[in-house]
Amino acid sequence: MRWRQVVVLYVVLAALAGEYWVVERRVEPQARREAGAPPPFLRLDPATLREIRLVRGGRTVVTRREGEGWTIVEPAGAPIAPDLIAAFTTALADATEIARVGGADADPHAFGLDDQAARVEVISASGDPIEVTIGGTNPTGTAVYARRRGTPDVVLIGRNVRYYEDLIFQALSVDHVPATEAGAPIGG
Amino acid sequence: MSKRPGWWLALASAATFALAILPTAVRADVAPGDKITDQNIDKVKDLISPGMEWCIKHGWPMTIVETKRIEWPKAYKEATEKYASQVKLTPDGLTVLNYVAGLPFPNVDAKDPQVAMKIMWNWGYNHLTTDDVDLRNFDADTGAIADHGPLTVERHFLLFWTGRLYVDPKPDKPNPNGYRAQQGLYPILEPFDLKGVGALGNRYISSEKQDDSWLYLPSLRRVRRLSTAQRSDALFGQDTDVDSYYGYSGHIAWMDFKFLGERDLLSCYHAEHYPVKWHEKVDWAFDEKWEKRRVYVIEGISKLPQYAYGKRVIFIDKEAWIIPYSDIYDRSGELWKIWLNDVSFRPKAFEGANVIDYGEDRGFIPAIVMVDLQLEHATKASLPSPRFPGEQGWYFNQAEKAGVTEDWFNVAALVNAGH
Repeated sequence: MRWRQVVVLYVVLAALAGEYWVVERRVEPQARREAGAPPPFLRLDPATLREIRLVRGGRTVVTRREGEGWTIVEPAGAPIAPDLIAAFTTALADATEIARVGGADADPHAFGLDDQAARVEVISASGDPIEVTIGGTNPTGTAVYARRRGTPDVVLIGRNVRYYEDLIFQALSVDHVPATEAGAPIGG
Repeated sequence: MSKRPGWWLALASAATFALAILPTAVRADVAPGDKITDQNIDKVKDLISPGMEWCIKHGWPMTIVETKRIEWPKAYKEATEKYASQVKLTPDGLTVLNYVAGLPFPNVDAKDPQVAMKIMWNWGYNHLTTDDVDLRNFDADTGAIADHGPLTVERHFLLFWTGRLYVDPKPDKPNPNGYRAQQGLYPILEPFDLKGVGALGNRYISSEKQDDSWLYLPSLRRVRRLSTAQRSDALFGQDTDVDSYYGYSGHIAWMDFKFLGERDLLSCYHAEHYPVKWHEKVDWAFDEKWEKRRVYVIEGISKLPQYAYGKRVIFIDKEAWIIPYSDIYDRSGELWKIWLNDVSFRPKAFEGANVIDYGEDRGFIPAIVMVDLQLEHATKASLPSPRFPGEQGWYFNQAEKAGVTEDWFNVAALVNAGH
């Protein structure tokens, strides 16, 4: 190999290294960010929350933090497991925007974000309330439409939030014991 | 008479008002004989999980029957009565102390701060599997809903070292390694490219020891060690993962559990068909009878950061202590998978010569289904496969008679079977 060929190879190598340094290195983190985890739906730390208010179908549930746990304030004495409120709160705080599906011009009825939707108000220790509307289930049944008050975007969040909301309202309707269980001894 | 119209008007107004507010108070309900499809799914909306709702909307049929009692096996009931009073849970909830056999915590109190862990430990020591299990000649078909191909496994077997009720030595085997149970799943018979593949695992009593798991890949002639978190990865090209077997098979201590309450849930606990009968049109659905049961609802979140799932919502029957099905969510909270058990309580698999008669009802699982709801993909397993006529599938507490001995639970046996 002649010295000129060696020089040319070195020049090509230097050009490639320069291109990587100037272009690729900057593009890569951005692409990685875009392909990375979706953004959170709410920037919420469950540990700082003081009160949760849920309204759905004319019924209201109000819970307040007392120490490490949650107490049901309204309806008083409702048989809702304190862990269910904690799980709901964590699910809401952990929810990420799976997709943004509509903006300010979105028809709320199309996403179930109308009068029939559930409304959740979370109040943090600082007293700032965050209000969220949780609408209908998406066609695949794995997520729900939601909108944060004060923002026009309709976003898709995981269905876990809706299921825990369902469990909370179902707990209000517990009114019977299945026949097999009434007075039954342990183990049959 | 002249006052009557006013009276009736008031009554009619009251009735109208009551009817107007009734829809918010009336719960969805079913009656024996009901056939549930996507057309009348509103009847069961309060009696199913989101995962089950997805299945019904995609064609899964349900026939409702009367709820029946489930009796525990006699030995299990006696062991519970004898030993339960001495069982304690450590303050961190991770270790069960003084356990011998039976259900560790028969008196569950929803107000107990450790209620979630006690329910999960009860699940971990339920009567479905006590001494040993040998599940033979089953198959698992995997594919898009309506398009599938077979995977056949020769044996899935379990050997329990503690809480034993039927086979000597009991209640414990001499146990220098501190095993709770050992598990084998090998060899795979088909498809051809997976022939000989198998898995092996050890579960320890100590909550501080993670599971030991190995995977043998004959094509590489290698045994790969799996981490505890990898138990949640789908294996062998299936939608199923080892940690989801039976509804939840991970170590109780490796998840944070929350008690979310109780509810009524439609469950399949008195399946009629053995082997399983798959629905003619919806061929990934077992065609069975469903009954209303009372269940605990538990949320489980893994302590392992590499765990595939964000959380599990596990339903556990209050009487039978068996999971009818469990929903699985991804890390964004989106519904991802469901595991469904087809459970049948009966004294023997079916009528026939040489079929083991257990002398009392016990739980069999003639089929399971795991559906990936996001990919519309499912694995259905026939336990046993109908391709093996006369096969009982499940052999409980047969020990050496079924070939479930300690020497099957080592890597050498796994490799030998794969050749």
